[in-house]
Amino acid sequence: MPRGKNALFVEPDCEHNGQEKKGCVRPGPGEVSRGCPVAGSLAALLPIRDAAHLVHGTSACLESGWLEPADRGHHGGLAGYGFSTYLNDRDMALGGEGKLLKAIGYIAENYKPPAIFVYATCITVLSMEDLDAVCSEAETAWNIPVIPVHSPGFSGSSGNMGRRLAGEALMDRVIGQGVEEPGHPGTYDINLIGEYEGGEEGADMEALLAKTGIRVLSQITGENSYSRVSRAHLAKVNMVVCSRAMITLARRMKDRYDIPYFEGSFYGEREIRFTIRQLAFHFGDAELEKKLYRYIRKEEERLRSELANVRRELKGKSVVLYTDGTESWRYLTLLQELGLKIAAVGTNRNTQEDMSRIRERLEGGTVILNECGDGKILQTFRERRGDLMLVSGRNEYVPLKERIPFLNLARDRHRSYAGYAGVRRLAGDILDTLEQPVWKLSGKSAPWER
Amino acid sequence: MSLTGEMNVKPLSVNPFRVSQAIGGVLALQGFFRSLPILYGAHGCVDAVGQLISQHFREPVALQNVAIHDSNLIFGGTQSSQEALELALKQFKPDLIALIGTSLTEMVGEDLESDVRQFLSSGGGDAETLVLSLQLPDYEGSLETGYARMTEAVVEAVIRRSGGAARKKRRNRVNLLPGPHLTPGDVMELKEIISSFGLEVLALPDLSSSLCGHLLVGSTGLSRGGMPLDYLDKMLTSSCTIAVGGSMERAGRKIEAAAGIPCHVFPGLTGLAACDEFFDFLRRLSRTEVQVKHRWQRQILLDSMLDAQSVFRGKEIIAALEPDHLLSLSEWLEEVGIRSFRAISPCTSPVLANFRGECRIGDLEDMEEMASSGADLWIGSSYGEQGAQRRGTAFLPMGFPVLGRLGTPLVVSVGYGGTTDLLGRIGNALLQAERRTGE
Repeated sequence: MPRGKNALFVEPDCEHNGQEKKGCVRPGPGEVSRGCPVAGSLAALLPIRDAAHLVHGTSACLESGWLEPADRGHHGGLAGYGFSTYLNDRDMALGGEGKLLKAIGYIAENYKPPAIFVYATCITVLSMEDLDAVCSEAETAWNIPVIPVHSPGFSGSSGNMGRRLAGEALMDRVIGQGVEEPGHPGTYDINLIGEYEGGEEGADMEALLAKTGIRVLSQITGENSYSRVSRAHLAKVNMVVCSRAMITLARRMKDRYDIPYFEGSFYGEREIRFTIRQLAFHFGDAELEKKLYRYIRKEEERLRSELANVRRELKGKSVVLYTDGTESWRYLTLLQELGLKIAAVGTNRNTQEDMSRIRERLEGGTVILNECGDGKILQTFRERRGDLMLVSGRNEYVPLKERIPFLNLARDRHRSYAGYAGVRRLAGDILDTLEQPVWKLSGKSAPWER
Repeated sequence: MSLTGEMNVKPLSVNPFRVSQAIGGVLALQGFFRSLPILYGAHGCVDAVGQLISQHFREPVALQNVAIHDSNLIFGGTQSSQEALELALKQFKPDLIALIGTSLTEMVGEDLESDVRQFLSSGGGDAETLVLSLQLPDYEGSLETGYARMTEAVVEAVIRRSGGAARKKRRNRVNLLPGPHLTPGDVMELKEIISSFGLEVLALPDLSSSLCGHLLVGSTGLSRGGMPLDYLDKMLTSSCTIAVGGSMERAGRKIEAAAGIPCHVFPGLTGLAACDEFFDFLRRLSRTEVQVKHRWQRQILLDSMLDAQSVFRGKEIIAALEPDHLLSLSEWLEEVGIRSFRAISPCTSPVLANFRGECRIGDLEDMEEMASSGADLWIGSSYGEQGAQRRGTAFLPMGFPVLGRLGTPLVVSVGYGGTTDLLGRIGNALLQAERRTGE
């Protein structure tokens, strides 16, 4: 490890690795809030649905990460359970290690999961608890893997850092432990690594790949089970989907297991085509390649004929994005393929990497606003005569309160925009949104105000 | 009532549903116009608080942060908090700022009060803006206590600013302190009921004009409505204070002590008996008769109760809610004649001594146990929906947070009309469950 540098910020496979390490920028007070690393780790690992996830902290630490991923899930096994040591002031003063050990035992005995993940929080780091020691003690006592995840709230200024630290925990303790399922040898096995919108998107990607004969061995951060993740090292290729938060995991798997990885996405025809070509290249199998290309051609033709009307309707409509994270660039190619004009992209908490991805995907004529702010995006929308604002998360209320047509790409969606089916869904959703009567109605004043 | 099964029997909490105090504090501030809560914790904490409130109410939330970074833990965070206060004032010009501490600031020993004092003495802020601080660590209490303590803090600050001079009382002015178990719709209904007696109401905090959903102020970083601060001073000239929910009593007593205004506490305003008492109280206070509308609503409620008695007969209901909400519900459920009402509360409260039924402190694992021992309906926040599904128990969302549903903040369950509505909602849930099991 280079002297004076934090090993976490050294990632040889990142293009900005050569720059001076700033680490996560110290967040200024009052600024837009960013995610919590514990929440990020939970978002990454809760999809391992048969394992138990125990947050070692006060009550709010679980609150920040539990409900949303749990809400998406199917209601079987341990999926959707939240465990917390619920530290009180006494534990904070006297230490919570004993309580943690008992809590692990309680889960092991009552719920019998295949593994328990234990999450450190700000409080337990401050009280200098030895999480690793407690976990290994518990491991011997109850004879199941107990995996510490070190991503306390102040370890980084975003959920991304949490995802990354979750990746470290998986690499160190889970991946490589499993063995091949008997009777299921796969020729074309890959892992999907990265951030996407949980079950629906992951299922869509798996279905798309299944049609071409490629099997997804494990989705890391997608719908998953402990044994599937522990087998991930048996894949032939890794695909990093959308977020680079877990690129370190992919790189470490390349170093340790010799599994090549590439970055790709399933949003929009061009991106899918690129992804499939990459897969064909990595497998280097002429038969598979022919099959893959045939598949793309067929799907693209189908899309062309099905979307002709929608494209005509959408052509030249101008959209403004006010998004954070991967939503900022994930759909850009797709939107442009639909004939939409991207007038501006505003963002408040995107990484340098996200910004360069935004730039890569734009055709020109787009205003890019970093550290944008609500006022600025509204002004830009009006100046550039936008027809629709695409938002993510809580940004939704900015256009809503100004009665501007908007579509939230991230929240409440439960619909996947991945794959060819996703292109159709997003195109349909945009068209339906534009045609909502409420945009006209909400602009009219009451009879007594006229 | 029996208070058994204290939390510390289990070394952990399985599916906890306690909502942290900070959320209560932030929520209370949304009920004061042009206010801005500043949460002092790790940055992730702020994100979670904002998201949860936003998703429940489907409204934007005024909220800023002082992000604690590891350097703050060593060198102290006074400079960060000063910067945050300065920035908030410059950027938004709020009328009210509250610096809210978390478990983390408690643990490293930040002195919020001195931070605010230092900020004010160094010439930061103007005389118009009320700046206060409050520690709301998440290891104790719940949404209810956070909400009540924030209301108290604002009341105290207003009393302090008023200078304690005795003022002439207005006979037809009353203060209303609605607890957090009341929705914005409930608060609106109470304001209407009280006004119908010719009384002027000062609701504090007033979520009914803030988180009810409206487009009046466009996009803003401050709270979107609620009690304006310049109007708040008038609370010291009211003839009485009505606190709804035991948690709000302390704020009422503060006003009583400062200005000699009597405080009346109503545990809840749901149910025939509770409403009768409330309307009679208002009648005597205002020396005005109950309006025809409400007399009709009482008739309708009685008739609905007759319609519903066979639906509620012999039913077993369980609930996981905050103490005040549980007490109000238990009094009403006793009135409609169910067989048993059992409940789990996330924290202790003196009001639970009056609970009619069996109540324990616990988590949703305990609740699932209750459900498996036989229950016709599970009432509680969205945290419990999965558990209810696992146990095959009918579920009715209530409390905080309720996610993935429309209109939650506008649901009314107070007054004669609101009670009739609630009777319908719970009755229908029971009927639907009956049909399902009958299939």
